[in-house]
Amino acid sequence: MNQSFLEEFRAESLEHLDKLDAGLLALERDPSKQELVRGLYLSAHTIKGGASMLGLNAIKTFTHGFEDVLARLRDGERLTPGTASLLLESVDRLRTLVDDPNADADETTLALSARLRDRAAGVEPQAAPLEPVSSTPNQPTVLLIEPSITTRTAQAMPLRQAGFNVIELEDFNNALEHTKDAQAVIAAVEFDPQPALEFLSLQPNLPAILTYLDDPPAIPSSARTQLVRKASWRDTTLLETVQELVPGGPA
Amino acid sequence: MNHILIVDDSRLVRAMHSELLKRIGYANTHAVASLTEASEYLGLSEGTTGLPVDVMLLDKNLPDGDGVDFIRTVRRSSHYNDLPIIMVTDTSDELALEIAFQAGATDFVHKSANEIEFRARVSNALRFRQALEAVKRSDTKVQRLVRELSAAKVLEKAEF
Repeated sequence: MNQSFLEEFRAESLEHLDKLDAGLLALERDPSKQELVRGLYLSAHTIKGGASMLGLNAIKTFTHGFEDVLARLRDGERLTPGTASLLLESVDRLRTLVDDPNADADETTLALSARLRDRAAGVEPQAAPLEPVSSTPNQPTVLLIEPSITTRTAQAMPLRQAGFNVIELEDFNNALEHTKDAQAVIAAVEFDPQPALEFLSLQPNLPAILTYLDDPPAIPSSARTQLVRKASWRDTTLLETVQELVPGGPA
Repeated sequence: MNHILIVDDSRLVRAMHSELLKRIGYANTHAVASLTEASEYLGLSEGTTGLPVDVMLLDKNLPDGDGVDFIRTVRRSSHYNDLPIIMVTDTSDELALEIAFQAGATDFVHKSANEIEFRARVSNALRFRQALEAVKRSDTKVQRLVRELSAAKVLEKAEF
């Protein structure tokens, strides 16, 4: 196979995977934005087409299932948190496949492919469970409070990969009971910063990272409270800020 | 020299098809990434003049529209109503192909098609184009002869 075509495929696919990440996050925030679905579909279609031309069958087959799930959205189905999480996980898997495009599909890929096929056939996946209770001892714990399951999954993934325990919560309702286990808190503030500010006033010594989407909120940052803009999970700012705020944590 | 227009938003597809066409003897290719650019190339957009094209290889899904809708637009233009259009597809969806043919597609080729099939599809489309051009030229010649014959008859009547 012509190496330059393979390089072109990887470069082009990575661009489309970034678009898929961003598009899925935007659609999960506002599932009524049907116009986003076409862009997602086109990105998947381009990756599949390239894989097809180059005979990269593992990627072609996997993307086919991914595209079939998007086809349901294109035909009018709304994106649910479970499906958003499945698609985001699939984008992550595609990055691995594109990194080594000639490799055969491994067990993880085949299992995820089967879940995509089930979803395309109409089976609604369960959303990832909240509040994972099995913490690993001796690893610092971060409390992650974020209403969007997709954003939460995207934020938790690199933290876990770096060695943090992550307790995921969708709001502040039960947050206080987890603070004794946590060395830092990450909380979304773009819709209403008040609950986060009230929570932090009760936990003045807990390092906090307040995440926002478009414009930074009018909250002064300090040594213990940092503001971080939400970005793709590939952006390392959030992880680096957590590592900065939690001394002795995994670097 | 045959002119081939490639319309595809994927850089990889444009590069691979351009090279494949070059390898099988069609060096005169032009590749565009959107329907807007294709419209400009064909002179369908206001204020643009069309450039020569003998076959168009067209992707179905493009960021600025559907390739099948574009076929309908091209077919409405008297200048291109018989331009061979080959849909480039990675689907086996029979309904999608049927709709494309109804819209005026001449043929289709899968993205995974090998060189032999790809060459055959493009060559057939070009032969079709050349045969049609030959028929048109003959038709023009016949019409001219009919006009000349009619004029001769008028002259004959006037003389007798």
